[in-house]
Amino acid sequence: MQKIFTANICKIMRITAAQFILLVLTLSVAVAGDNFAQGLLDRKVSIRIDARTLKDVLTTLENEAQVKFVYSTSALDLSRNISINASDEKLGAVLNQVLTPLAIQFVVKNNAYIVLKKEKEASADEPITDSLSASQLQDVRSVHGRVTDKEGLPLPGVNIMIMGTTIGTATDGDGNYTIEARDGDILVFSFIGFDRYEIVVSGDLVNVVLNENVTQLNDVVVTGYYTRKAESFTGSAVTISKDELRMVGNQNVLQSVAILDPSFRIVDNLDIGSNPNQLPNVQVRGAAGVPDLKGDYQTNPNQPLFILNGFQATIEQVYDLNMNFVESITILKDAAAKAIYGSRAANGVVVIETKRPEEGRMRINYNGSVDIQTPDLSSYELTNSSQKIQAEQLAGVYTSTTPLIQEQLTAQYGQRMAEAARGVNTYWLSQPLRTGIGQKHNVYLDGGDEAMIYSVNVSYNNVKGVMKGSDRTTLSGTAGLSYRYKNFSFRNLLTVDNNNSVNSPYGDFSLYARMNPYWRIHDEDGRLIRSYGNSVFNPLYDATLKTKDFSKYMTVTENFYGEWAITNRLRATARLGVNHSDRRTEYFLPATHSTYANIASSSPEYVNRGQYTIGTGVDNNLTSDIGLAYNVERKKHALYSNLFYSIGQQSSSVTQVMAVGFPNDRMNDISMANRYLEGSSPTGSENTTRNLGVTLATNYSYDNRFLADFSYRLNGSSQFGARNRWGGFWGIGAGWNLHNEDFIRKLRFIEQLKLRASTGYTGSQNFNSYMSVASYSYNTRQTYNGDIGLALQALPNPYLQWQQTQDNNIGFDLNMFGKLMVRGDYYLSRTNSLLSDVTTPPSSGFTSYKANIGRTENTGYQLAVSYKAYTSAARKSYLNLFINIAHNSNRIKEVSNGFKQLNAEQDADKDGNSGNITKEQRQTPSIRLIEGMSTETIWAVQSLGIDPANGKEIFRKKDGSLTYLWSSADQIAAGDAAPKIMGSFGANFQYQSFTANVAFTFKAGGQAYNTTLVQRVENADISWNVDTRFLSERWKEPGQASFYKDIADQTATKPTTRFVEDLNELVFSSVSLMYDLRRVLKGQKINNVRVGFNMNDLARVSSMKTERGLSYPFARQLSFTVQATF
Amino acid sequence: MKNIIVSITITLVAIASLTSCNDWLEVDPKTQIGSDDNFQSEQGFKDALTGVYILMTHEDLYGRQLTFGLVDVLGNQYSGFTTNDRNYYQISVFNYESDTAETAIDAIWTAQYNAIANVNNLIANIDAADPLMFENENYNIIRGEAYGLRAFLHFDLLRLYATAPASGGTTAAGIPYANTFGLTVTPSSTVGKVLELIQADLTVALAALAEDPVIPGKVTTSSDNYLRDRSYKFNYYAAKALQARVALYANDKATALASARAVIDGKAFPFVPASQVVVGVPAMVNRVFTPELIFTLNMTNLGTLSSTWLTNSSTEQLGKTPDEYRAVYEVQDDATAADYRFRVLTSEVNGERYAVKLTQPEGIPTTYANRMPVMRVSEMYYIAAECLKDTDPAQAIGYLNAVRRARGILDDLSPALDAAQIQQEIFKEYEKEFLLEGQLFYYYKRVNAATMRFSGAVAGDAVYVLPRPDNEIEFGN
Repeated sequence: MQKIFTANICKIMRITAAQFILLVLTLSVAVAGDNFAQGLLDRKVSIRIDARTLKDVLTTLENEAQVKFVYSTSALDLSRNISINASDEKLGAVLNQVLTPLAIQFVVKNNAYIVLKKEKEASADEPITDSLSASQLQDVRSVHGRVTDKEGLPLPGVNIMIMGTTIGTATDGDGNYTIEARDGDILVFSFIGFDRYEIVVSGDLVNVVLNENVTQLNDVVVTGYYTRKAESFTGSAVTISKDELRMVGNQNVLQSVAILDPSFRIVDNLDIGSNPNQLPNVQVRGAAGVPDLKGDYQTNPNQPLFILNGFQATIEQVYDLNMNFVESITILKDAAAKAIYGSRAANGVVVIETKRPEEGRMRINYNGSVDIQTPDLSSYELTNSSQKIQAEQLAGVYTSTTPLIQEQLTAQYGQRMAEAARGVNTYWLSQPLRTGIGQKHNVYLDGGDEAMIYSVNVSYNNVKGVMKGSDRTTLSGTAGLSYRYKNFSFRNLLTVDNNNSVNSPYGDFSLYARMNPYWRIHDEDGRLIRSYGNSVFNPLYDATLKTKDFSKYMTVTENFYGEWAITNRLRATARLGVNHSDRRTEYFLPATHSTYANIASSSPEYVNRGQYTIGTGVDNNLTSDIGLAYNVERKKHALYSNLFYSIGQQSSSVTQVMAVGFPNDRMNDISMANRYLEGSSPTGSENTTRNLGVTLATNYSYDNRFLADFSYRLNGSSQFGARNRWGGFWGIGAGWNLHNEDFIRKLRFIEQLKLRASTGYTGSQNFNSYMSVASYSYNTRQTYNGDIGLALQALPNPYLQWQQTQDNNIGFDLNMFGKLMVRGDYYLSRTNSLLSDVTTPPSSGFTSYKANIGRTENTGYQLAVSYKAYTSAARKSYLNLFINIAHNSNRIKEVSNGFKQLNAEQDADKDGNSGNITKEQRQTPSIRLIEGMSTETIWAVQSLGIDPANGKEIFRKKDGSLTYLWSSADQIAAGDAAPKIMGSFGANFQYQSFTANVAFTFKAGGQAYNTTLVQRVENADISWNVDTRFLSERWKEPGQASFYKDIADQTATKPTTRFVEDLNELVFSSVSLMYDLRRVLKGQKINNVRVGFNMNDLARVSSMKTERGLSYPFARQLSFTVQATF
Repeated sequence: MKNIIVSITITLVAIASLTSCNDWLEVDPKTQIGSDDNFQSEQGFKDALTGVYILMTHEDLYGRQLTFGLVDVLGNQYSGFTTNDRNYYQISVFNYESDTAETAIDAIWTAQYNAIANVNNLIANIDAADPLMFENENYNIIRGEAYGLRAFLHFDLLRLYATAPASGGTTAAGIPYANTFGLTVTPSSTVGKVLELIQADLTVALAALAEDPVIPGKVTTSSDNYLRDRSYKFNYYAAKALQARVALYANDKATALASARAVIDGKAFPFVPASQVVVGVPAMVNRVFTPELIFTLNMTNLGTLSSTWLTNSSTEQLGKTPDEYRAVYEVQDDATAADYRFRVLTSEVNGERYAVKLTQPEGIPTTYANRMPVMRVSEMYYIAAECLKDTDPAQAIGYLNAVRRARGILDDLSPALDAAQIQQEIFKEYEKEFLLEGQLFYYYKRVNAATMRFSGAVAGDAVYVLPRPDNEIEFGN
């Protein structure tokens, strides 16, 4: 099998490569003309009619499409008013749109004219041939032909029936069929995922092109390996179309998905704000794993698996993906849906498909936008000059018992007051900020004939963050090609992405937030002030230096798909994905940077000021699979089955060097370094993982009523211990389409009611490679009498395996009156075998090893409701309302002794007042993994508030007694950072050419630790700027009731329930307006132009007041977009 | 691109079809070397063994704590600690429960067992390896060194963390004798059992090291120069010397004497000639008496360590008052002091006296440089003397005089000394000879001395037995 596969793959690859070159060479001339051999119904028409009679419509169509309609004026009601709007659509489709609601059927006769008749005439009782020509008298003869899709790929297994009879057949592997029929018989072609097609027999040869059912994307579930009819699928999956994505934003795919599906959560990070160069931390249906406290994971341990066009992708690739190039996104949530991804699927799977090229003459599609980001500083509440000086005075900054010092302090106070009086009140926050104006452009063109279809996509995305100089630019090009050779069909996609991410030279935003307002930026001569004494430097000065802080990558991705229709029911597929990335990061600070300001010229380190770090990395990934697809529909049974074998290798390596000694910022190349950083040598790491898998996925439905899914994947990975290389993962699902039962059908108002249930096991394995094998590393820093030596790196665990998650899901899909759609899911996921450190007696040589101990449980529900409040085809207007709600609760069921030890270590650090951890860390609650609690529990000691007598905090000990002393032993679960409920709601509205969408997101029931109050009020360092509440609300004298402790107390406030606050939040996440200029542009070459406007993160109402965006501010986003099709 | 893809595909599929699935899933790290892969060649065994020696040079082990650091502090080789001394004050007052002491004591246990784990993986692989893969005697030598090191490393753990046979007998709780590498936890054995296992490993080591070129008359036929500088390795005589050391600890004087004599009579380690010690240029002094070193560790950072810990300029200096030194070396007058170990190997700066044995002055000959003494031949003379003090005092005194003369001491000991007096002389020799080498504390412990010199504390198991780490006790060890 594998040898055959080799041969085929090699052959295919050669063809692919040749075709590529061809594509590039012939692109400019490859504009296909109209296909003159098209059938009548395939002729393209553009028509736009509002509320006119059927007769008028038919006349217009006759002119537009150069066809002739034949009908009986008495049988048809020609005076019915109709509206139709079609642009470059097939006549058949247009007629379907117009006539089907009127119960009028149409058939093509002799490829010359189209007969219209009332639908009942076509029933079995009245053979349609009755009233027609003499051909009915002809003998039955053999009719043959070929069925293809729009790309010209043969469609095997297409069902062909002679209308009104039970005579039927199906296409073979080449899409060919033969059927005994007479002229005038109507052949009905039907195939999953394609529109039904009817044609009247005339002649021996009837070739048919089936239209893909693209308008009904939601009717198909895309799993990345294959598609399944949604109606018969029993897994929990959510499909998001490109339009839905764009309705809620223009930023990036992840952000839009998070608004649309609350089970896809971007975890809050108050630190990174809207930094365009920071990748978000994403989880689906809660955290199955535990936080990565020890750097064991390659990525966020709870990150879902991203599949882009069938191949695994990094979150970075998805983040940088141009939204306009996306066709659909499917989130696979439960075991029945995701089990085909085996040991990688436990955290959920996000399947992204980009646009597929379409047959026809060349179309050009342009999308562009101007994206404006403005900083949102509303969460900051810092003192102004006079307030700050007053606060300092109250805090005793200007008082001393030593007369000499008192004199100096008084003078300093006077100076500062004078500055404030002179109007110096520097708003430092705004200094490093700007209004970022970025641009996005996307040009997509496609076309071709049935033998070959091509597409080219070029995207440019320039994100300008709100900090000056913080940019992220991605330039991507994709060339796609689909072609056919006998009963083989191929598809090829070559993508090149180039990304350049530059961090702001202004550095960390917190450097500005802490600057005192009474400090000026410039001196009298307009020069930047460098220093304010006491080692305080002006961060704006550093920004003027030619520092470097950027990273870039270039990725080449080649995806190849081949398909071989062996018989009409059996297809073989092969896929190959190759991905190569080069990455580079550079970081440079010259000697003149304030980091080095305190190094005296006499110090030997003086010549080594300035630092340059260069990191380079290479990733190489290779994935391949071969598969068989078997589909059979017989009577009431339908079976779809896929079997595939996959193999892959992922490798990455990074190297980094650090050099020092760059006297000024003109020497900004690493080759000008004085030397390597003392004691440093090039560092690097390497990771290679390999995996193998065999997967079977089967979907069965009986009478479209009873449904079942079964998937199994046997999966092996090099990351697992030698004794546990292989694991089986499975998912089973059952469903019942109640709407196809008579008793529901009678109710009429229920259009869909499906019940689903599933269970299964999947795994997650994104931890570091090589944990399971005993490995040595050379000690390159020391030799022994000239020899070099090896040392064992860890205690190997040959039993190490993947984390296992058992997902149980029940759900329903309901559609009432065609207006109200409800989708509900309830799940219970248990994760076992968490990767954790297990302590071992040190006599084994190491103090711990990696093992699979620990269990977590996530339960939750999700409800998605949408309601078509108003629809009017005549006015071309509608109003849809939607609400999505998700709840997840997380529980740790078991943790290893390694984590228990970590808890104890952290507690000991917190109890201490010096040593191991910083004051800031001491003030922040630690992540403690305690059985029975959530991984996001906030641990703090119960506080009874501040004693008015002395300004000290009163704590309640575990035994109920009161104390002034904080002890880690008294910590209680004071809150949970994960919200109890989160969701989104909004509306989509269209009136004629105008569309509008609004979306809000909310969360409620969670808590957060208000670090702003701790760091800028309670423990504020008065030498820096503080929150205004520092001044007004700290305890100052006995008897004063205050929320905050004694203003003179400088010790660290350790985690206390005083600062645990409920966090309920409502965010006005997005609004978008779109106007369609088609009417205005009628008659122009441009087919379609839409202009629009998006805003994101407009407003926020929160129960908690805390500074948001500490290292980088949050931004409000506004975009103007243009879409045009030529 | 096309060629790359094609070749990658061919490789990929060829791998997949020619090898079994499990082989495909076997990935060896590049910046690291898989254990199985490493032991496919002789070089891998050599490098793994070298790695163990390098681990032993760590400051938690023989690079500091088990030589001039913690063990010598416990043996009161230094004085003048104040509560400001963050590293050694608590240790000097035997407050083992204090944070600083506990951290240091736990680190020794962990690092020593880590070295043992490395040895164990090497032993497991060499026992399974094909000797024909190795050049000449290399297979046996590497194997012998590994077994010898396992015994050596365990013995020092036993001497630190278990009661001495002289105090608790051989049935007292000992330490885990780890001889496998893996997830299985080795339970603690009794002191007697550990001593037995050490001797068993030494027997294997001695047999394997029978052709060690360190033995006079044995000549290596290997061409790769791997067997150079045998005192840097745990050679045949190191194993023999350890046998003597262990036997004496177990009060098996017959074995101890035989083994000690085997080393002495092997004549591979002559006393250092005066001409290498009494030289005018300080840099040219053979400070560690290299010819006498049976086993020494090569440490390129020895100079830095010495200047960090053993000089006046360091903040945490380890030294003693000049008077204390004079008492130890029985010196009346510095100017006329005869004992090289005082005259040449200590130096007075600002009222403190420091050992300069490990100092690496600029210009020190490479043949003297970067050697951390671990076992020296003089100890064999002391062991022989101790074994003979009751049965043949004259010979015992003869052994002691041999060392004294080699140290420049002009007066021989009186031939009329009784056994107790001989023992007292042996003690004085340990005190003088093993400054910076950690053996004095073990002497006190071996003889279960009730007091230690320069210490007010009552000695006993509370002092002599270091607590093992909590995470070891948790597992019942």
